[in-house]
Amino acid sequence: MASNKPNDGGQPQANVIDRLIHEPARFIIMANLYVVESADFLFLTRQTGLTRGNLSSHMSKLEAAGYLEIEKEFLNKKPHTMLQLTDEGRAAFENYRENMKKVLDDFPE
Amino acid sequence: MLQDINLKELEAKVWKSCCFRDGLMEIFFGVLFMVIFTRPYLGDLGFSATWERVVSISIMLIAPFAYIIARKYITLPRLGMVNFSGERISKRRKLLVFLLTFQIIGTLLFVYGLQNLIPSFELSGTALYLKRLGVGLFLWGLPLSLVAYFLNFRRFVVFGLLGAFSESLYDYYGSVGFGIAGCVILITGIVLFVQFIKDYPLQDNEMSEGSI
Repeated sequence: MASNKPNDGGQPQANVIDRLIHEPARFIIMANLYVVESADFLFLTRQTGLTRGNLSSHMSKLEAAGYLEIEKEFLNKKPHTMLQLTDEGRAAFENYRENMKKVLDDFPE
Repeated sequence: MLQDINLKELEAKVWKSCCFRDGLMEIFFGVLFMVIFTRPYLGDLGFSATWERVVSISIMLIAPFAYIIARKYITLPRLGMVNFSGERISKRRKLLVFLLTFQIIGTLLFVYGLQNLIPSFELSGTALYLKRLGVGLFLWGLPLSLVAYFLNFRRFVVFGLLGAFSESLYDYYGSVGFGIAGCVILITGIVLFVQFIKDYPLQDNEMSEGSI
């Protein structure tokens, strides 16, 4: 819920949380890609538990935002898609983590 | 800090999923243990001492390659491909060098007889057992514990302890300890492998790539 008060003490408000990454499926995709150099489409479907169509849809959005780099190639005459976070994507994920941590740390008990 | 810890756990989870879910590592170690178990009995099957060594060395040297080929043609098409980043790669390379060196030394010791290298002391009873256990811990426990640490796979510690324990029983029961341990590890590996094949069937290639 966005706050209308001015930002005091550098506390992040809800509107600085990256909503693109905040969506649970995209968060899982970004987290899995953040901890590795790159992974292929099949590996991500296995790790995330998402359906192929669902994963494709989220990856398109991440690619459109410049967070994801998709490389399509053929291996032994079979289509193969490798995915990795761009530098912008990694920075965005790190910012997201920082902001979420601040929001949660400052949450009143 | 919480996020850092969680990401490390996630990375370790991805690593374990990628490398150890298929049971092939257990099969590999089970085969090694069984080779050690069967070697003393090859003579009864008509093999000469030279052929005993040839057969044993061949299996021990072929096993790592069989493992790599199985990973490439069975595991990878079912699990997918992932490239890990710098620190993990660096650890893995150092470990590969260590394992290769250890494999060569271990094979030579196995072929030419460990007892020819250990100083002989007049020991009996518990002291003899402890000496053998110490040798076992040095040959099996220590290296496999290091492997467990570098590869984040605690089962290597179990392999190491089973190897050390089997080694400690050698003077009393021969290679039977390795046979029992080998069976346990091999059966575990086969069960994991079968489960892996069921859980991760091969996918139709056109569908597996989605609609990106």
